[in-house]
Amino acid sequence: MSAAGLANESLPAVVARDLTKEYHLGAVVVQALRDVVVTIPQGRFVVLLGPSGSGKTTLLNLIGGLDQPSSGELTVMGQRLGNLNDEALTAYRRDTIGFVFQLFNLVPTLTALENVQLIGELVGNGQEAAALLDAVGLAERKGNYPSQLSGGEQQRVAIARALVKRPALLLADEPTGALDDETGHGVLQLLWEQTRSLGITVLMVTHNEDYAASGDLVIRLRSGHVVSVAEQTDPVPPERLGAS
Amino acid sequence: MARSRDKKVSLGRLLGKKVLRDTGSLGAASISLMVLMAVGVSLYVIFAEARANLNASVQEFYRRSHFGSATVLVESAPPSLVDSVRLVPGVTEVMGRRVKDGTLILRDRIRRRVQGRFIGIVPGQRSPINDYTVVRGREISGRGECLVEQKFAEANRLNPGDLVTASYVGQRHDFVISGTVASPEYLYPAPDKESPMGMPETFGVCWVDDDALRQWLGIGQIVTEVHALTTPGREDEVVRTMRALGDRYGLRSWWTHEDQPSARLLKNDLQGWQALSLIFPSLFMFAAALSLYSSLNRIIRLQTGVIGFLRASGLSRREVLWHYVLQGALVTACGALPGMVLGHAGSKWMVKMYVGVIQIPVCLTQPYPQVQATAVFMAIAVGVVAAYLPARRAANTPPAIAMRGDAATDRADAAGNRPDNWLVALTRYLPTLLRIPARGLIRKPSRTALAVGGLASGCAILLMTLGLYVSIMDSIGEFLDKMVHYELDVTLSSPQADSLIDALGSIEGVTAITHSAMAPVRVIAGDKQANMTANGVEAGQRTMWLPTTEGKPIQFKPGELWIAQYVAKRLGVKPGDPITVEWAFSGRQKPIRTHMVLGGVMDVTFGGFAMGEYHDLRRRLVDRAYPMAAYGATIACPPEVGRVLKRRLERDDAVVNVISMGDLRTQIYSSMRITRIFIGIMLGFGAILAGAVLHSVSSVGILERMRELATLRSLGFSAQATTGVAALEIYLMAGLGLAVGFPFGTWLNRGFLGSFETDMFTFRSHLPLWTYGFAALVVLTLVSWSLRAGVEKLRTIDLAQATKARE
Repeated sequence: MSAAGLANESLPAVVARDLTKEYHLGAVVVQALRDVVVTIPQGRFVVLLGPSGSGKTTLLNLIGGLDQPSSGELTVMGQRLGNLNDEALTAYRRDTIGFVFQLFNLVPTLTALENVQLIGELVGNGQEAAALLDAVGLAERKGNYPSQLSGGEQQRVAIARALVKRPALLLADEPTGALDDETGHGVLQLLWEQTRSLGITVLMVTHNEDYAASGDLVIRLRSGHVVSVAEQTDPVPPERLGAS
Repeated sequence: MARSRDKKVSLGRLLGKKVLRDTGSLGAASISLMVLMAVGVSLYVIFAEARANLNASVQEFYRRSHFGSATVLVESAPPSLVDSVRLVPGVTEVMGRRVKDGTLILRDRIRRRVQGRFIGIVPGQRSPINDYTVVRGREISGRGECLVEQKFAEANRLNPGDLVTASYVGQRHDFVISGTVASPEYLYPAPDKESPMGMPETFGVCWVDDDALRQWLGIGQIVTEVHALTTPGREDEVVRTMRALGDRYGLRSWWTHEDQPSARLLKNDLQGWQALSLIFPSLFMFAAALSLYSSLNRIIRLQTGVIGFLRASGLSRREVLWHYVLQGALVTACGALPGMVLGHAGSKWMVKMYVGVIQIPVCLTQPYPQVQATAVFMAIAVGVVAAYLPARRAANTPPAIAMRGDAATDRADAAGNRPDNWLVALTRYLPTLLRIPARGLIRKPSRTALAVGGLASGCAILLMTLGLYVSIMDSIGEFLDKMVHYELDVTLSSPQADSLIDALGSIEGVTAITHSAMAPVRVIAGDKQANMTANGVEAGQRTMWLPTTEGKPIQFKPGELWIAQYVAKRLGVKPGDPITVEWAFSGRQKPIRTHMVLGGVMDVTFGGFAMGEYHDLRRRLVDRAYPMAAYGATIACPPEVGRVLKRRLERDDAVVNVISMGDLRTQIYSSMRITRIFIGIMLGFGAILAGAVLHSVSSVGILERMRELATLRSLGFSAQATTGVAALEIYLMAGLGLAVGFPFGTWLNRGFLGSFETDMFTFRSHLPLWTYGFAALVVLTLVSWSLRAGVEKLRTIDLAQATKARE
C-alpha cells in the first residue's frame, strides 16, 4: 500500500498559515518568506513560480522538513511540522516526502538500480525498483553508475528513486534546471505522468513560465509573498507544451 | 607597456590573495597538512642537526684533547721506541706512556674491588696526546694523588678527597682522588678492542703520578703505549709502521683513531642517527605529500567553475598551473618554517641530553643553515610535486567544461566505477547501505591509495619504534632472564684463586658454580677476522643457558669453538669449518695461536664472545696468555645469599671484581632512561602522523561528500545511519592502512635494526602480536577522534543548502 494511498484524501496536502522564514546574514536580516498563507489540496500537480529570491525553494524546503520556519504554522498531510525534533523530521521525510533535486544528487558509488533500491529498502519496497526504472525508460541502464548516465537519465533515476517510496508528497526543486529544453521536457513529462497515475501530490519549483500550463495549481511568489494562487481545471500535458 | 605590467602585478596580487584565502578556507585540513610538514621538517632538523652537532662536539673534544691518530700497545718497550716512531713519515707528535691494568679497591661503605687501569702522567704538564679535561676537583699535585674517570667516579659515588687503593700483582698503593676527568679515550668505558663492553661501575681508569707508578710497579723507564698524531689521511700507513716497530717489544694491540675502542662504540652509536634522520622525516614528508595531493584535488574540484572562468578570461594554462602549485608550496612553507624553529630547539635539547649521558665537556648546538635550508627545500619540493598533478589537471581542463563546474576526472578514478571492476562486483553481495562506503574506497583509487599510504607510514613509525624497544628489551631479557641462571659473576686475580671458588660450593644456598676462563682473541677464517673474548665454560654447567639456533643446550667439546650467528655469517664459516683462534696480544715475543673447528653458532644478540670447553680453552689459550687473560666463576644462589657472598668476596685479594645480577639489572634499566624518552617521542610522532593523515582523510572525505550525505538524510536516513556510512568508509580505509602498514613497518623495522648491526650487537627484529595490536589501537582511536569533527558537521548540516551544493 502506498503512502499516497494511506493519506486521508479529505485532508489538504499542505496548509501554511502566516509562514515566515528569516535568515540572518551578519547584521542583515533577510526575509525569505513573509506571512505565507496557502492551502494545497491532495493529488494535484502544483507549480511554484517566481523569480530568483522570491522564496519558492525556501517554501519547498520548509514543506520538505529540510528547514524550520521562523514563525507561523505548517501542516503537511495533517502533520504539524513546527515542533518536530530531528528524529521525527527524519521519519516524516522517510514516510511522507519524496525529493527530486536540480542536481539529481544520486549516490555516485551506486548503480542506477542500486540508487533506487537503496530508498526502496529503506521503506520496505525494494522489489519495485527495477520496474520503476523500466517505467522511467531506463531498463537498459540499470547497471550504470551516475557518472555513466546523461543528465536527463540521472534525473529519471532520481524520479524513480522518489517514486519507489510512494510518497504522499513529491517535492521537485527545479528538476529541469540542469537540463537542456528537450531533455527537460521529457523529464517533466515523466514526472507528470507517473505522479498522476499514482495520485501523488507534486510541488514543483520552476522559473520556467511555460511549465505553469501543466500545473493543476500555480502558485506565484515574489519577494517572499504569495502573490497569486491559480487553479487550472484543464492543465496541458507537458508533451503538448511545445505545440501550444 | 607599463599599464600591462601594472595589470599583471595587480592580477598577481589578487591571485596571491586567492591562494591565501583558499588555504584558509581549507581550515582544519590546512592545519593538519601544516602540522605534518612541521613535524617532518622538525624531525629532519632534529636528527640531522643533532647528528652534526654531536659529531662536531665529539670532534672538537678530540681536537682539544689531541686525540691520538695511531696507537700501539706493547708489553714493554724502551723509550727509544718513541724516538723511532717520531721519525715515521706522517707523524707530527709522539707520546710514550706507562699503563698497567690491575685492581682498584674502593673504600666506600664497604671495601669493593673493581677492574682498574693506571696511567702515568707528569704533574703540571699537559699530555701532548690524549689529554684529559678535569671536570671536578683539580690536577694531581703529588705522588699520593690520582684523577679518576668521571663516569666511573659517578657510578661508584667517588668524590675528590676519597681514598682508593690500587693493586697490581699483589703490590698496593693508596691514592687520594684529587679530581675527576673526561678523557677522549674513555667516552665509553671500553677496556680494549676485544672486550669493549666495560661497565662504568666495574672498570675504572686512574691517572697517577708517573714517578709514583714506576716506583710502585718497579718498571723503570719502559713504555707500554705509544700514541702518535699524524697528518690527516696517513693514520693507516703510520699504524702499520708502528706495528712493525713495536712487534719486537711484545705487540699487544694497535688502532687508528677510527678503531679506538671507545671511538668505535661512539661511531656505531652516532651511525644510528643517520638512519633515524632519513627514515622518520621521509615517512612524514611522504604522508604530507599524500595529504597535500588529496586536499589540492579537493580544492581544484571545488573550483572548477572558477578555473574555467579564469581560463576564459585570458589566464594561460601556465598561470593556472603556477597558481595551484604556489598553493601547495605555500601550505608546505607555512608548515616548514615553524618546523625549522622547532627542529632546532629539539636538536639543541637532544644534543644536550646525549652529551650529558656520554659526558663530553664540549656541547655544540649551533644551527646548520644548510640542514634547515635542505629541510625547507625538501618540504617545498614535496608541496610542489604533490600540487603539480592536480594543478596540471586544472590547467588542462577546457574552459567551457570547467565553467559548467565539471571537474576533469582522473582516468584512474573513473576506472573505479566501471561495472566490470571485479572489486565492485564483490561489493554487490553487501547490503545496499554498506555498498556505499565499500565502493567509496574503490571509486577513487588514487585518493584511497594516498590515504592508505599516509596511514601505513604512521603505522610503520609506530611499529618501528615499538620494534626497537622490543628488540632492546628482548636482548636484555634474553641475557638477564634466559641466559643468566647465576647471581654472581666473579673475576679472579689468578688461576690459583680457583680454590676460593671451590670452597664456596659448601655454603648453604649456593646451588651451582661454574668455573670460567677468558682471553681476548681474534677468530680468523681465511682472510677475515673478528675480535672477541673467548670464554671457556665447563661442560655440563648449570649457571648459564646457552642455546643453539635450534634452541637446544650447547654441548661444548674440546677443539670446538662456538660463535654468534651474525659473526659466523660475516666470517663466512659454518659448523665444522676450521678456524684459527689467536690471542689478541699475540706477537713475536709471545705467539699464541691455536687451530680449532667451529662447533656451531649461538643464537645470541651480543656477538662479542666465543664459547668453548673450559679445560680445552685453558690449555690452548688462557693459561698461556696469563696474566693477560682472566679466570672467574659464575655462582647460582638466591639474591640474599648473593649479597652476603658478594661482600665477602669483595674483601678478598684473590678477587678482582664481583658483579651481582641484581646490581646489573638496576644499572641496565637505569641506563634505559634515554631510550625510553626516545621511544616516547617517536611514538608521539607516529601518532601525530597517523592522526594528521586521518584527520585530513576524514574531514576531506566527509566535506567532499556532504551533498551525498545530506541527500541520504533528506531521503529519510537517520543521522546515525548517515554518519555510519561516512565513518565506516574511514574505518575501512584505516583497516587498509593497517593491512599495508603492518608488513611495511615490519620490513622497515628489520632494515632499521639492521643498520645497527655490528660484530658486537645484532638486534633481532621481533614484533610480538601486542605491538601490532597497539599500533591498531592507536590508529583506530585516532579514527574515532578524527571523525568527531565530521560527525558534528553532519549533525548540524544545513540540509537545504547541502543538497543544492555542487560537489
